[in-house]
Amino acid sequence: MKFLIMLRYIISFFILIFNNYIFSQEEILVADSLKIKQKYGIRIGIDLSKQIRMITEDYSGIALYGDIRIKERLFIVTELGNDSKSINNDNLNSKFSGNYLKAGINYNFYNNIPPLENEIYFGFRLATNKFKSELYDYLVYDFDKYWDEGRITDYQEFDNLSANWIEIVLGFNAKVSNNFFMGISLRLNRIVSQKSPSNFGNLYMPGFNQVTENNNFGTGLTYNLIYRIPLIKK
Amino acid sequence: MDILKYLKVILVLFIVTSCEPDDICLSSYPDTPNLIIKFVDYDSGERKSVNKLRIKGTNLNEVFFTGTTDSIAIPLNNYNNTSSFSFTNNFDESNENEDLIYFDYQRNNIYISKACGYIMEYELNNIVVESDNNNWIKSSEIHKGLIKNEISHHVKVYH
Repeated sequence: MKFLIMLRYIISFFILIFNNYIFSQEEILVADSLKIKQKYGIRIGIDLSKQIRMITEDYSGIALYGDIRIKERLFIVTELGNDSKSINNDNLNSKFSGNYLKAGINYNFYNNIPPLENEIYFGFRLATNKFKSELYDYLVYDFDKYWDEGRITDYQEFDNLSANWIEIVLGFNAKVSNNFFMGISLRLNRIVSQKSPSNFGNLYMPGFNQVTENNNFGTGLTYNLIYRIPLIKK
Repeated sequence: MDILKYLKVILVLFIVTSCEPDDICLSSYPDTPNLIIKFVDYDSGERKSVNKLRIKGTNLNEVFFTGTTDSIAIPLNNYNNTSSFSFTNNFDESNENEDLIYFDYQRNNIYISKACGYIMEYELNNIVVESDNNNWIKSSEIHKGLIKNEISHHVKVYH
């Protein structure tokens, strides 16, 4: 819940920033006929939102980021990570853990005034994961509760679960110092396929995050800290 | 810019999908089914009420039911493959008669949802009425062994 409130806060903040950026950008539109040397290269990064989540919720994980700039505005991106999240409520205690891989592109539509190298981008990802879920105990949904002895401990592990989904990404990266970037991205995910166990549900999926019942959509958020390995200049 | 419109739609969707309506278990969803007993006359096989029936789970302090009825839905024990009940007729009268009845079954947990968790379904194997030389329950019969819902009776008790 804390995370959600935080999320909303960030979203509002983001909308505000974003709108300002766009409007100011339209006013400034510089005719850029000069050929300027631009840095191309491989960038690597880490998603710090995972570390923040480890403080605020019953979660642990790590995510790595990598991209290659192939055209002036186009980046090929891969992201991989590991998530382990406990879902506990009044009726059940469970845990979901596994790895994920995402690949796709970012298109930077922000017109930088040289020598700025910021990005406001729009991205697309194909994503897949492999995970397992564990059920620790549950409370039988029963109104009478006549023989009530609390939760039933019945450990079960469901292996070889997986899912495929697509993500639409909206984000920005700001250059904070030479070759270092920081950025936020928001994601809207949609499940394409998933393998769920026969007598349990995929309540959470690594990389995809929270799964809502009867709903193929999900959301994500990253705070990236990115380092560019300078290779080529054009 | 056209792209702006799309982005705004995405942002709205993002906010909408952040809500979690599935955290509440709606009580309209059917819960774990009870065992439904129909009381019938031993001779005629017709529906027959039990006078001043009192039902209590063995070893439990709380009485489950007291009253005159020709059918009753009782909860089975989810922590055990046997439930034992004390069925007393003419309760609190001079001809009070207590019979002990045992239900043997297998339990199957069925996943419902994140908010509701699991319900239990049962496969009834056997009913035993403890013999005490003066049983008011003459015999019993499993009508429907699979206890998945509360639509009709599962067990007939003759008296």
